[in-house]
Amino acid sequence: MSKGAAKGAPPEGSAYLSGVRRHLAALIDQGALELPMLPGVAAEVLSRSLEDHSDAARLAQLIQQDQSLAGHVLRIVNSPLFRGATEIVALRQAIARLGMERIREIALSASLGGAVFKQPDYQPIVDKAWQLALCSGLWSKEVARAGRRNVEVAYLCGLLHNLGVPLVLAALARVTEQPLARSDAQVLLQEFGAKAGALLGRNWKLPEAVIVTIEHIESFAEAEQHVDAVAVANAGRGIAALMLSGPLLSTEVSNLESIQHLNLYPDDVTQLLAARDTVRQSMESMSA
Amino acid sequence: MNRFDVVVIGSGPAGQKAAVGAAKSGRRVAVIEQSRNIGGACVHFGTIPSKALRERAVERRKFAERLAALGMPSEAPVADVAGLIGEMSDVVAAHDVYMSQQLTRNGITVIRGRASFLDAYRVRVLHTDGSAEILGAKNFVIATGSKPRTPDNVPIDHEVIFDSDSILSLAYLPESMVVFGGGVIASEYASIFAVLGVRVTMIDRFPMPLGFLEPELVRGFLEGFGGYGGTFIGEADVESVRFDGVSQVVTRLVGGREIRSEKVLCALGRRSLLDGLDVHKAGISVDGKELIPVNENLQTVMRHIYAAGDVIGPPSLASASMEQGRRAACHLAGLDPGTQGEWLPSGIYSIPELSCVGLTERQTQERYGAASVGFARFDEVARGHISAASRGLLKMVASPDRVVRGVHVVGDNATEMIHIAQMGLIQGATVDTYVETVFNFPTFAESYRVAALAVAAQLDASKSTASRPVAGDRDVA
Repeated sequence: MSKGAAKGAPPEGSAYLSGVRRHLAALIDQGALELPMLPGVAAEVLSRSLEDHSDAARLAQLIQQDQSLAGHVLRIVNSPLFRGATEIVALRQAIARLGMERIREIALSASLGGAVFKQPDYQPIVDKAWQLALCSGLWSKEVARAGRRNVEVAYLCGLLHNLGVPLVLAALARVTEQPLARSDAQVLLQEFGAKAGALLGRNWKLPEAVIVTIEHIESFAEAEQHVDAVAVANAGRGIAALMLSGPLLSTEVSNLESIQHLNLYPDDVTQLLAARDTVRQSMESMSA
Repeated sequence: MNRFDVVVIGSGPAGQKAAVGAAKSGRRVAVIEQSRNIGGACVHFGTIPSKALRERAVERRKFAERLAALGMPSEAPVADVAGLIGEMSDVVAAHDVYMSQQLTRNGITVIRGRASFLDAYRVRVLHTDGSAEILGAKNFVIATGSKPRTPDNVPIDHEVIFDSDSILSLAYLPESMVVFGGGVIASEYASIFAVLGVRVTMIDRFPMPLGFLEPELVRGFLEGFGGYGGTFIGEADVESVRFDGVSQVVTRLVGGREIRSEKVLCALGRRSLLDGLDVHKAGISVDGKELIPVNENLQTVMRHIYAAGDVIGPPSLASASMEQGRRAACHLAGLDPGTQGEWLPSGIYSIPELSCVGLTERQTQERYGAASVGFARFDEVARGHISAASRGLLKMVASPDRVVRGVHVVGDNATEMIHIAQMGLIQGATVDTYVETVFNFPTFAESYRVAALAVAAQLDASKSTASRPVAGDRDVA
């Protein structure tokens, strides 16, 4: 898709926005969206010698924290070349199944082959989305732990729940000559984010729970399957959003619909939020 | 304040039967359940899901074995755990619906929340949104069940180190698993995962798992478990458990030996779940094992408050809990609960299945001076061959007066077969009862006759001294 439909149109105005909207819809219908890689993490992967155990542990951590790389690794390990009798649904399973060396190769290949996860025109939105994704993944793990749901799947669902954001923004950068106003971009993200993310998830053959999460993160109760997994991610995202925007109050967390769906009582929430320092430290370390 | 005749705290097997029993006697009943669903740990973490998973595992194993026998080797036994868990969830959901309907049908009010006693006649119920309500009642039944027991040196994270309530949240089958414990739950899960193709290592401080069972049954379990690639390490204490940061959990035993596995299941028993219930405010104390003492009518020291199920301790079987709940309801309603059955069967849903009722060989010797023992191997009955289930064994124990005192079974259908023995014990059946009874042919029940013939032969030969026959030393008449 070129910049054709929107080219020449004024960067503001409903007609222009409608043209972009049509373009995006066509891109999604054609499944022509690509997810670029995060250069910082990719560079770190490349810079490290992974011969000893501690570096292998570092690689595992890098994969866990990199939304794009995590998706790539899962897609590749589930390809006919590597996939055994069962689907690989978690990063740690992938590491255990294929070994660190193979995962390193996959990670490097994915890093080298991928495009750049950077949209200068929309960097503040991308940065915010990435922070939210990372924080949601970390909190989703804690919510899953508190609710006795699968922790590894929870992390993936939280981390990848807004996979569509960079995808849509990348597409916007391709189809428009000038960046849209932030509010217009947000409107389009709201409209196409989940659809684009789910499309990519399907193309990558991500675990069904992740795809359902991307589709239903805003309305977990409407998911026909994996409702609890989506609720966990919704709660993780809700807590992440609260933490990133100000003080994290247990009363606000308790009021999240998904927290109630998961049957977490106020004292459970208090215990859950005891992980805030750990999450914050993980965020800082991953963002460094 | 909402007032009821009876408030039941917990909706597991004990609570449910207590609530239904009380409602059927005309009482206005409320059940307080802290979980989202009815049924307690039995339905959502334990009895029902693990048995459902077991059935699926056995089906797949048999299917794979059958294919192999037909010359079509498959990747046995296979394993898409998400599919297995999905099927299991269907069973759990069906059971949940059934139980909810039963409560509704009997006009029972179900209140979701966490209960805590304010005094002997009032409880406060806290909801997930932080709101609360107070309920008053003439009678209470405490049936809050149990939760996994975890030692301090096992850092359960529900991610790589699980307890028995979280193990079924697995999204995939690991390649290897270490199971701590040698009791019922540990043995069940260890054997199920071994059958599903996981390399399982059981670690226990005792020399053998399931030490309360007859040694022949334990051997049968270990043979089956070992046949599926499982390993049992006895007389071993766990010193530390840690995740290596990449993919393996390192279990270090006292003495220095280290065992690496992808996952760890800590199944070292369960303890009563009384957290936040504040029973002391109702005038009730717990004993040294954190259990609520009750009398023969399931009454606590506060006679209008009953307790049933895992909160009062062994046998901690769903079947026993249901009966306790029913008896508590009868007593508070002034109804005769009937005579309490003396013979309670035990069922262990491992692979192979194990079950027993009545006395062991040693208990029979201690109580009656001598014990005669007969065995029937499943490869001695036609059904064993037909079902390709020849690994089973039935052990019958009789006292010198020819009365059968106990029966112990390992193998397919053990938990069903045991009820023949249970009825026999209730009726005081002798070995001759089993010898002279015609069973369907071909069935596993024939094993009773085979074992009874062996016992009868010994008793006929020597009426004073118990002797140990060699399995198979008998003919079927």
